[in-house]
Amino acid sequence: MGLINKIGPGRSGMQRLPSGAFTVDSQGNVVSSTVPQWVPEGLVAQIGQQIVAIFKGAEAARLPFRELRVQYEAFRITAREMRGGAIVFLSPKAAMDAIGPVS
Amino acid sequence: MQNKKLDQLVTQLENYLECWKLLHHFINLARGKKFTAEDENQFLEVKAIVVQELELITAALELTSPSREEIHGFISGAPSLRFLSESPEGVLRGLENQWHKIYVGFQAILGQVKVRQREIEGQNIFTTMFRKKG
Repeated sequence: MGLINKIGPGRSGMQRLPSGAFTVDSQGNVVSSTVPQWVPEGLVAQIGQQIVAIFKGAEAARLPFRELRVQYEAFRITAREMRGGAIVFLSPKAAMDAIGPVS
Repeated sequence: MQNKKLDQLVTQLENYLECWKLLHHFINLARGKKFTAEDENQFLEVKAIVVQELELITAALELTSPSREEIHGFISGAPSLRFLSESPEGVLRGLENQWHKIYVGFQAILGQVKVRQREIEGQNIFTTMFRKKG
């Protein structure tokens, strides 16, 4: 899967993992983002395009779903479908742990 | 405003409204007291997107209703899912009313932008027809 190659730890050694969220429209263009600026725009755009392509593919196969989750050992990508576009959350393990268990 | 810019604005507003829908989903999660740490994190991110995106929208449009103060008031009233889940039902209802007012307000703005978009499309068709005849 393309996403694994782009974010996988083997690709960039000790690079920090991105944290934040962004939205993409139905064409895969990034509309808004809270992902820090040190994360290459191209990388965010590629993730968004792939997410939209996955949602579209699922819909074309008549197996639509609303949420997609890619779980790595230290990183998680969660995407929710939004009228053809999507909102994508990038969560490194440190950020996931920071909040702790709820209720 | 050019049609391309209006198209972008429509996309931006539609996307923005989807984020507002997501906020409502989170309020319901808090009400049901069924949320995870991940939901809490996502709630914070969606609020951040809503606040940032508001600035982009106000740069393109003059907002009177809903006002920036109303939107910031809503966000301030919902600091976390945990806070909402521990709030009395009256507080949640108040927040839901605020949400509804803002959501409907943005739907109206989207409608106005779409009207302008159609007007410009109409003008373009008219211009094209005259060019062909001339």
